Amino acid sequence: MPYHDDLTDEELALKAQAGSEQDFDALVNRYAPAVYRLARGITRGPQDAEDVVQETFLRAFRHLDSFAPSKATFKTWLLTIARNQSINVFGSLKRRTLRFLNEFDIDERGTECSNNPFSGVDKDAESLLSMKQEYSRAEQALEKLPERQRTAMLLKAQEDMSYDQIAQVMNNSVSSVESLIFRGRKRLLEILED
Amino acid sequence: MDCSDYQKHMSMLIDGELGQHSLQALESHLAACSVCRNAYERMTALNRTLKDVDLYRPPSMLASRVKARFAQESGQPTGRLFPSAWRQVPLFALIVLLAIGVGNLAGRSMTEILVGDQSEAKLEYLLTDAGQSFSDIVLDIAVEENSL
Repeated sequence: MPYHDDLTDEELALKAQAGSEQDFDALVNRYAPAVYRLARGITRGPQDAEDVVQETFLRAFRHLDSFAPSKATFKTWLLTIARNQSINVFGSLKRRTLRFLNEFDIDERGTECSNNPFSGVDKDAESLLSMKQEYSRAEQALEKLPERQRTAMLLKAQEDMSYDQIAQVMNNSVSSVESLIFRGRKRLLEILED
Repeated sequence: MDCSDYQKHMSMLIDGELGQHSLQALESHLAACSVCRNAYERMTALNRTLKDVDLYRPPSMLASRVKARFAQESGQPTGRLFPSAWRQVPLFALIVLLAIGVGNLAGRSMTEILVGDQSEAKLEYLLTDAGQSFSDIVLDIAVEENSL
């Protein structure tokens, strides 16, 4: 949809505020993956992450009036909602129990579903194996980090957000974000090189 | 500043968050300290891995499922979540009717409205004691029954 591609997030959000469903759909297309990655990083479960995506966009729809471009970018505002939702899910005892019961080996996870990043048929076996190992190691190492370090690192590495934006999403100071990311990096290196 | 402080600055440099003044100090330190140079290379490699590894790739139909859920939530098969102008007309009409109704009823009590003029005499007979509410009367009856 080229028309929507030309508009900034904030322009789309303002049109959505005025009642344009198509413009909000464009924002869903644009940000569902980012919300999913953050939710997945916090909740760790694919189903939990998808639930968070659904809930995040529903809440965003309902509270579009509270979005103010002068205070935060749309992405920052949306990911703040997503993080709060993810923490609610993550903190739920019921969810934790289900996740525990449904946990399975990461090797199985790598080949289980259509969204498996290693399912591309155009990659040769060697590079596929190498990517899979790298993915597994990175994911396993990230899961060993405390939630706040993991979230800060994911927002930086995957979403390319500034420390200031990450601080807004995490309701934290910029100096705390600096420390979280630095300590997260050190810990990840220790885990990966162990 | 010690190596730990410089390593924190390396982390900020990788993220594009280090100021010019600190950058110059860091570059001088890196030129002299092999431990920190090694740490910087490892941090850079880790950062590249985290950026390139495509962690947590979302399901391919995620956005479509989100939109379908909206349709379900709003109870409309076409997936219209936002009410368009014409869909707000019945709500507006209801508000106008309510406003007219409330205006017509102004100055009349709910008892008058519900019971009507013909019953007013009976009601006045029942409520002969000024200041007694209906609940006072019910309470009195209950007390009398208990005392029997």
